[in-house]
Amino acid sequence: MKHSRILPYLLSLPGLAILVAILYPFLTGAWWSFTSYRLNRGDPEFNWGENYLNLFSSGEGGHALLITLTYAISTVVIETILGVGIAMLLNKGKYGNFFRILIVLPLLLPPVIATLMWKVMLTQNGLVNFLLESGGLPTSLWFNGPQTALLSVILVDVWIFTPFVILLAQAGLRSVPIELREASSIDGAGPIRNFISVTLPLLRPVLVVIILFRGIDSLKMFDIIYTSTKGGPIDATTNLHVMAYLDGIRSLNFGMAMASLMILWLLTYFVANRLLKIRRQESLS
Amino acid sequence: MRKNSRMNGAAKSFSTAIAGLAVVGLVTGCATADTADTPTGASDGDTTKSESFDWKAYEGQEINLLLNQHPLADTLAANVGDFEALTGITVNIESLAESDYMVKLTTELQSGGGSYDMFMTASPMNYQYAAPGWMEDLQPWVDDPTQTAADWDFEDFYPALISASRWDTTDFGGAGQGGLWSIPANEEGYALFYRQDILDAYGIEVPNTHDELIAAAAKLDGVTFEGKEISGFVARGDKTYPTLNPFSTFGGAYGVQDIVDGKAAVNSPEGVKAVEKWVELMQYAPAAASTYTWYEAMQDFIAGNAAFYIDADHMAPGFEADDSPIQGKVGYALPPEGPEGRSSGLWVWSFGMNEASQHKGATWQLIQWATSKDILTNAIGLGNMNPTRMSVAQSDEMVAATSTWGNYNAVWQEILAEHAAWPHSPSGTWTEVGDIWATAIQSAVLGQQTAKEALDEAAVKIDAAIK
Amino acid sequence: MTATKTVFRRKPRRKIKGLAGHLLAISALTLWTLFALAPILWIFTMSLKSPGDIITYPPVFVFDPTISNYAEVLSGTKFLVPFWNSIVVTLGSLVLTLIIGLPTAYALARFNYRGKESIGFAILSLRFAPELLIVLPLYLIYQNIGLYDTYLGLILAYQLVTLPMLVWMLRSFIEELPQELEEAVAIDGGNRWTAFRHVLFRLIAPGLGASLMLSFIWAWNSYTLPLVLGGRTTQVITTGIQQYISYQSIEWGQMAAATVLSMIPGILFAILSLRWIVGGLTAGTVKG
Repeated sequence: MKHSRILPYLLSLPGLAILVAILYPFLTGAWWSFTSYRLNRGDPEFNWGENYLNLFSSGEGGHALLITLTYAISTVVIETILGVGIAMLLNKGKYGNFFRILIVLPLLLPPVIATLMWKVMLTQNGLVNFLLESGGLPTSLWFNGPQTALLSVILVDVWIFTPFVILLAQAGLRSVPIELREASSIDGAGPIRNFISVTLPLLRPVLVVIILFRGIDSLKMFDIIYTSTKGGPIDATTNLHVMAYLDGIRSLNFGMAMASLMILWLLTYFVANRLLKIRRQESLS
Repeated sequence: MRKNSRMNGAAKSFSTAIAGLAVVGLVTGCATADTADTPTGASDGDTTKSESFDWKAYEGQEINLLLNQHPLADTLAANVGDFEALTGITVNIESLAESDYMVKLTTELQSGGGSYDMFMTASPMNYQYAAPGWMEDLQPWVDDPTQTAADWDFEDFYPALISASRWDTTDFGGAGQGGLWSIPANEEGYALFYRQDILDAYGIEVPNTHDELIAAAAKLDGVTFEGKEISGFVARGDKTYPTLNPFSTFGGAYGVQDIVDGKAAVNSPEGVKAVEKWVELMQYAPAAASTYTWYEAMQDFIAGNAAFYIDADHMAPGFEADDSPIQGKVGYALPPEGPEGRSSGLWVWSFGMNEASQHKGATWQLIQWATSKDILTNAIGLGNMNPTRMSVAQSDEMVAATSTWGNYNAVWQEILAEHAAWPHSPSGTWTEVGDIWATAIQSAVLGQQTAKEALDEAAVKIDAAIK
Repeated sequence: MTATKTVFRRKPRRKIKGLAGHLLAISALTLWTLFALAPILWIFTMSLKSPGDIITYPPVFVFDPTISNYAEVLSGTKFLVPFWNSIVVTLGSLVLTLIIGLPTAYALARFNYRGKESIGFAILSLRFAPELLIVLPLYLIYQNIGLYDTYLGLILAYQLVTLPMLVWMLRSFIEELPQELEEAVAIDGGNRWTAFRHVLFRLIAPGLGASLMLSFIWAWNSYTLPLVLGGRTTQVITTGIQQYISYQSIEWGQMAAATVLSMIPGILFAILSLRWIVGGLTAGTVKG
């Protein structure tokens, strides 16, 4: 079908306008990352990337990067597998409709509030430990233990965001025609084979979107981590965004904070870029 | 003095370009907007110089407050109608939870926009905000009889609190001198709380020294009381600088200082000793306490799970509330005695004025009104412990409010009068220093490092931060 | 068709397998739903408890319910103002995002033009920026332009969150639908816009529903942007709920009640848009 050459650009114009508007604050932040800008000590002075050097020579940057990646990969993998699995279960029979609405509820809570509630439930003398003890199971320190803090934060993330995956996966599964799904089960293939060879390839476009969005959000997760542990114990849950907050708002060292955030931004950029290349190859095949 | 540019030149001109058109419209409407009030009595938009103090001098103006969620804020909000009637000034209050508050306040002050005229502040915040000129020096306002009511009585404030609010903005020096950056409205010192009933049941004396406290906590740790297993001790442990507040009862008692002659001194022999003692005591606290915030520690104590607790004395209303499981069972003691005597930190919530405010006269009226004898007395009823005026502290209302709280009233006053001081070196980087120190203590409590290792590492980081 | 099993044995096995499969599915779903709902139920019970019941340990499950928390929350402006603000700003953002995002998504999905992928990536990159990175400079700009503490200002800022999501999700859904649909309408004498209105819109309904709902949720739960760029008159629910966190205590009962109430718009919106998602079943059958 013919279309005027400029139509797509016209259609995209408002969106691009927003982008241009954001450019200025973004560039300001980027500029600050190359200065020794302490909010309360006068104007920013160029310091030749000293912030970046300090971040990595002290090991703090490397550690924060590690936590950022661990958190992001864990949450994305767990949530995608769980989410797609549950979405398929929901489609299996009429009973799915009953569960559908209920499952979405965790998403409706602001992450900050949800985390506060989890924090109350997971205290040493809290509800969850109480139930575990009554059931004869071992209790845990949850957010307060150096080994368990990161897992607890991931738990909260999974609780809140798996419904996101479920929703998208459901919409994606709907476009896999029933006939195709059932075809190979008539062939005698088991449900797993069925899934891998038939459903999965058709789900790939949605999966890329899911992983893209969960990935971007997980890499820069702040609310859940700061509300529950402030990045502690010590630095067990300090990812790049939390570290930037601690440097920027608590210590007013904005140069350092912006450096961490720029690293985070670059990381996100590369991950998204890779994922989109995969997507492009998908749609071409 | 004009405020400094807070963003680099290019940024500033860009913003001005955008605002250019808007400015034209504003100029005609707000001719008086740029005339800041000075403490010489000239009120803006009004050429008559007031001869004496007049509550109605700034009638018709509107001021904005940014407050932290706190009983102090509640008191202000509850009574502000009286102020508005008295002065004809309209007051808009916005209050936020503490961490939100810090983000908002920092953003606002560094922008120099003047959206908020007045805010709540405390010593470390003064250090961060006064040095770059974001706060208004209040001393000239106090001294000006045309701006301050005659019966306001500046001398009535506890000297220690006024001293804590002064700083001449030299890094690591000049504490207690120079500009007055805020007026204190609420004070907390750090006391030792104990469960009288538990101590009685096990025949334990109220401990007087650190070693006695550690021994007592050890004895009571893990015992069963009223069908529940309790911990010997509880306190906050999280890695941010407020944890240094209860720790100050140990630190100061051993004579520890954070920075001496421009170098970190947290790992001095006294510093290590103090942390070692603290770590020993924390072994009798629940394992999770090493990451407790003030709220979790307080909740644990209120729920009845610990025999001893060190924290802000102003938590007493929570302990003695009608629905508190430990009502009437709490004893209040001075912080334990160490080689250098007793010691306590100090946290003073105060009111400060935005240097960029366009309504300084009106704001000063609100500040003095909010810290007047009447309002502070009123605040007691709303749980605002402890009053910062000596007359209010010793008043009948205070006695009446705390009558069922054992020796609370005597203890907090003695702490403030004898032992409490802001123990840290004034500097814009102090919060960073404090965070580093608190993280080191947490590491030692968790057993990840020995006290000496953690503090040595912290000293290196602190030196890097303050250079 | 490869027959690996003899015909008469296949049927009964499939039937038993079918039943077992369903039972397994139901138990798995129940387990997950319990996990998902338990904290929410806990919050709900907390909203009905009196303060004394809330902080006791061991926790109480049987108690005298009270609606005083709800009464407190619904009286006065402490909760209602942020609640209303959230509704205005969230719905406003969605409308704007739809107006901006739908055409952009359509263009990305249907046309091939230079810079297409760059534009798509650029829209997505709006989401990369950690909010802290841009919020301080943005505050100053907003102050200068007069967008600070305004609904419009927040609606514009929310585009950072809602626009990438809507554009990319819609793009995926539109791409899945064959081009032939619009061609068919063209043959009948309609133009692209007619095709869109009559055919495509219905077909992307499930995708649109899902995208709108998710954008709603993200906008509703947005935290840092409204905190800094909103002021007293435009405080939204995420900051507003935290009002119950005071310096000396947390009013759990009221906070729980406020939380429960703040979930209601989301639930209503979810029910509305889920009907769209489930209802648009024609997508699968129009193929081929």
